[in-house]
Amino acid sequence: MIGPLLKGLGKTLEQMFRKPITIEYPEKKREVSERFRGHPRLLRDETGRIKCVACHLCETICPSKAITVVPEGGPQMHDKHPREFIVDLARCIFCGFCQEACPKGAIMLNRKYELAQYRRDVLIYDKEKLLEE
Amino acid sequence: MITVTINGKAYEAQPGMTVMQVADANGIRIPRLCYHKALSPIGACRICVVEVKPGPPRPVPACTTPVADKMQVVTESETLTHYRRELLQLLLINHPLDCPICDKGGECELQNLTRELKISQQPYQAAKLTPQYDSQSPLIERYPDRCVNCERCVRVCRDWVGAAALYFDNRGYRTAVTAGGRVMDCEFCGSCIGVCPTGAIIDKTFKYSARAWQLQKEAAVCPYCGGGCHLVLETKKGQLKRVTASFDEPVNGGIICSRGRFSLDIVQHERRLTEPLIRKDGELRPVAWEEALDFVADRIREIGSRHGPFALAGIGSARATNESNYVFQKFCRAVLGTAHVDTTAALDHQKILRALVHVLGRPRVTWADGEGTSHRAIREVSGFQLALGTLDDLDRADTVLVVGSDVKKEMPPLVWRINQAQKRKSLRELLIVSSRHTRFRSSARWSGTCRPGGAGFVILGILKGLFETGGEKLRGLGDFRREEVLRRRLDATKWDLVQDATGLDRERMVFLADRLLTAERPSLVVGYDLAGLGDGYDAACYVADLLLVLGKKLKLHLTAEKANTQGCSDMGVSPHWLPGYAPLEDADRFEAVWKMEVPRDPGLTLAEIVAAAAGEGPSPIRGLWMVGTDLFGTSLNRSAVEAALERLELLVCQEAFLNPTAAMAHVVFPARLAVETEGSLTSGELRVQRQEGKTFASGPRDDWEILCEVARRLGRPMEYASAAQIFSEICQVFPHYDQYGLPDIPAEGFWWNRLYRTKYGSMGWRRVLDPSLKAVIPWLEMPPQVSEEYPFLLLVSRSLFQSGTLSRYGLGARTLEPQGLAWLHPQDARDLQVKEGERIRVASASGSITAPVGLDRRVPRRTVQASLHFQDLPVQRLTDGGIVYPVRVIPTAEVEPGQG
Ligand code: SF4
Ligand code: SF4
Ligand code: SF4
Ligand code: SF4
Ligand code: SF4
Ligand code: FES
Repeated sequence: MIGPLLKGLGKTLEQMFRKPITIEYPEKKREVSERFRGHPRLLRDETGRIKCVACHLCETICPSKAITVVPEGGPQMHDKHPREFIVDLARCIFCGFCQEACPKGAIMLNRKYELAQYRRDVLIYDKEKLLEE
Repeated sequence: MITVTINGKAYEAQPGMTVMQVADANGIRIPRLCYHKALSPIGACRICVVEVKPGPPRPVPACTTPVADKMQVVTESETLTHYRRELLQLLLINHPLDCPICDKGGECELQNLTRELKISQQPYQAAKLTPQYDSQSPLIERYPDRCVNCERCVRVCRDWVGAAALYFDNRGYRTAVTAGGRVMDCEFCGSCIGVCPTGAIIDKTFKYSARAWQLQKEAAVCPYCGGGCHLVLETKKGQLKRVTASFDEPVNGGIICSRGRFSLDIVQHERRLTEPLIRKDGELRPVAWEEALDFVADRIREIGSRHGPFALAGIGSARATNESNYVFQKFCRAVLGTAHVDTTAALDHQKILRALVHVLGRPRVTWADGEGTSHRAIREVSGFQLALGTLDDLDRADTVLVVGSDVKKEMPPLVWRINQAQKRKSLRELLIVSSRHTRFRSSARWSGTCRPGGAGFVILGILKGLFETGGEKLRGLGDFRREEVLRRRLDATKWDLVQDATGLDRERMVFLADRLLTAERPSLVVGYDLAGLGDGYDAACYVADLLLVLGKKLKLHLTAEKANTQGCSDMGVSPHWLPGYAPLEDADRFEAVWKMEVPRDPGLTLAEIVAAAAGEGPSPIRGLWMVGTDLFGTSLNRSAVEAALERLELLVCQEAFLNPTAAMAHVVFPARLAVETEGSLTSGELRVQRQEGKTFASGPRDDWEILCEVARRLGRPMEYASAAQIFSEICQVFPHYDQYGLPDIPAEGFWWNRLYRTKYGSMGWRRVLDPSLKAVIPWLEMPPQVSEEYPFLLLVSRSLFQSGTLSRYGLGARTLEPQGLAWLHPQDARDLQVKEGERIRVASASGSITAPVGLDRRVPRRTVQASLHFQDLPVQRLTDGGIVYPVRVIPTAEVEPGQG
């Protein structure tokens, strides 16, 4: 009858010396994989211009209607970019469809996952914010 | 009927149809690029290849191959797909990867085809071409690198629009569409945008503002001219983004003009009125609805009790719906109790209608009695409307004569139909008599130049020619009284006089008469160059007489300048008739329906109202109620109108914008535009169409609602719950409209002059041109002549880009023609030593203005052409209710800033 008790203690002992699988969040942050799908962000090209050409494909594909694009023309005939680009992260489900749909590689999910907020409106990201992230 | 087998299934077809048409009719999709159902096929792209048996061993294009009986067609096979893929890949060699920014993306036929044929790469190489982009043209942008050389734009512009502004340049691999110069110089109808399968021609006003799939589409009837075109309003989140047209509808067949396509943004113009305004301390201030309505009711009661109801008058609107106009004339007659009700159409279009009513009779239905059916059976229908033709009649006509009309500007759909009929060769002879030189005129088989103002004499001359040479052929065509009197009067009018007045000699008149007489299905188009004349009514009497003489076959087509020019006359907005052209003596009938008293005295006409308001005559007008009317945009003399409006004790306007007339009002009610008002509109071809009414601005109300509110406050309520209810009352008093309920009017509308089409079935009643009709034979005034003092003639014109004064607020109109010019022939300008852009002074007997000069070879010599649309070109100072005036032209040596 002592047997099972010792067995249990043994298990405990074993666990004590094993490397923990949890991490001490938030003191320690977890390194996520390359393919992790965080929230969307917008990219710039090598000249620093926004890559997005406001084609509305991400907006159209987004299953949770989190994206709003307001297009605008530029001085040249072929210049088109978003005047406004809004992602409502409170709606976003991190599916990555936008990234899939984008013909310009202009929108990518980053690897950030810390999105808890006390207020919803902080989660509405505009173009500037999306370019920073 | 022949039988064609497509993909193993048999289908019926008409001989002469192409394989493509048979397939389309039966829902079989053959890929295509250059074929467009509104255009004649050219077989350029070969994407539509199919295999036919019996036939050549190689694939043939479906769009140009006519079907034969027992033909076997295969539309899908491995070989065909291979061909199609190769062809498309070749087309894509130079095609840019613009889809993400190309406005066509999502509705692009090339994009769809590429997906359909599963093309994901393009293995060929070829020399890179340098595209000549066009970003400078107004309203339209062109991207030649997206073009697939399908020629649709070229065809639509040439065969429908008649502008022939686009054509192909270079050959082979370098073939490209060009507009001639660096920028386009055309009618800017945007039809090329509509047919282009790719994003090679795009709408600049829409560019980059939304994607095709985000737009909600709603049909609407165009609020500008009386063509009654169907527009498709495309909105995103309630905002109008662009206007297009559908090739599936029968009225305008997918073609619209620049006004409809580019100037509809007035619905969301920032200067639209949204609150009622009352003049306080000399200024119009916004007030609440209640206050404005109460105020107006009080003032009306006051004027009515002090001076009697006949001190009030009303002017209805050719822009408002039938329902609003019907309620308006009822409001004037029964609520205000005045007989003075008219509209600005009285200055032109209604003159013709008056003459037609006078000579050919009012629309009348005789019912067969005693039959126990659910609705009454018709025995006989008579009236002038039977002589009026529809656009479809124009399609069938073999001879079309145009007299006194700048058709393209007045009502473009007539021209599109004529162009199509000419293209199809069903129209053999287009004959145009005009004082103007237009592009349309150069497409005519025969054209003659008549003196400005001579249109009435042209008709008279044709009549004279008919009687002189028609002989036996005339017998049996028309049956009427006073033929002898007419004959005698015409005999007494010397050819010299006719030639003096028109500039056309006997030979030409006899030629025209002969063409009309020998034609099987002749059509006559008459417009504002006749109706707008000071004696337009008298001239129109001869038009009506001509219809009497050639009654059995001649169709008359009228142009209508505004969306409901015809409808407001139908609704009785005229001192000469009650709704449905009922004589004033019929007031009893209306009293029974309205349960209100209707004055029987004849009312004053528009010109008389203005004169009476200015204090002329024994009983001045003190209060004037106007719906959607800018009196300063008419040919009435501007100084006279100013004097009249200034003197009024009460001027009430129902307007969408604060136009110069409304700016003088005491009270202004914000009204919905005709596109926003639910109701019906009657186009120039008597087609009654339903407007669903999509509201863009909050605040304005329907015209009829405002009138009902005031009527209630005046203690004589007119209670209507909806436009449909008003429409059914209209049907009750005007049986020709009684074919559908408002909500059931079919998309293509109905012609009110074809009573038999619907409700009444094809019961065998007779359409009669009453043999008791009498010719009316007025004296025509000689057209104004130049003199030493006034060596030029002013010829009031219209612009293709503008419509009345409403289009002033439209983006297209403002872009294409921002400023009004006085147009001169270059040679006259040289003689006067003025250059383009310099200002000249133009003076007539009535007044004088200065205006910048425009030069155009098409202006007749010693003539100044100017139009009434522009705020900065007050041509109305020179006119006095007509369109031709002798004037003096004096150079002022001033240069218009920014010009010259
Ligand atoms: S799909 Fe890409 S290019 Fe298109 S709007 Fe979205 S981010 Fe911009
Ligand atoms: S024309 Fe069509 S295929 Fe070409 S860029 Fe535009 S959308 Fe793409
Ligand atoms: S806008 Fe109209 S007139 Fe101009 S090129 Fe296109 S189709 Fe022709
Ligand atoms: S511009 Fe458009 S309509 Fe014209 S040929 Fe090119 S693709 Fe065809
Ligand atoms: S203005 Fe006339 S021709 Fe032009 S779109 Fe409107 S109804 Fe058609
Ligand atoms: S669609 Fe038939 S050849 Fe182009």
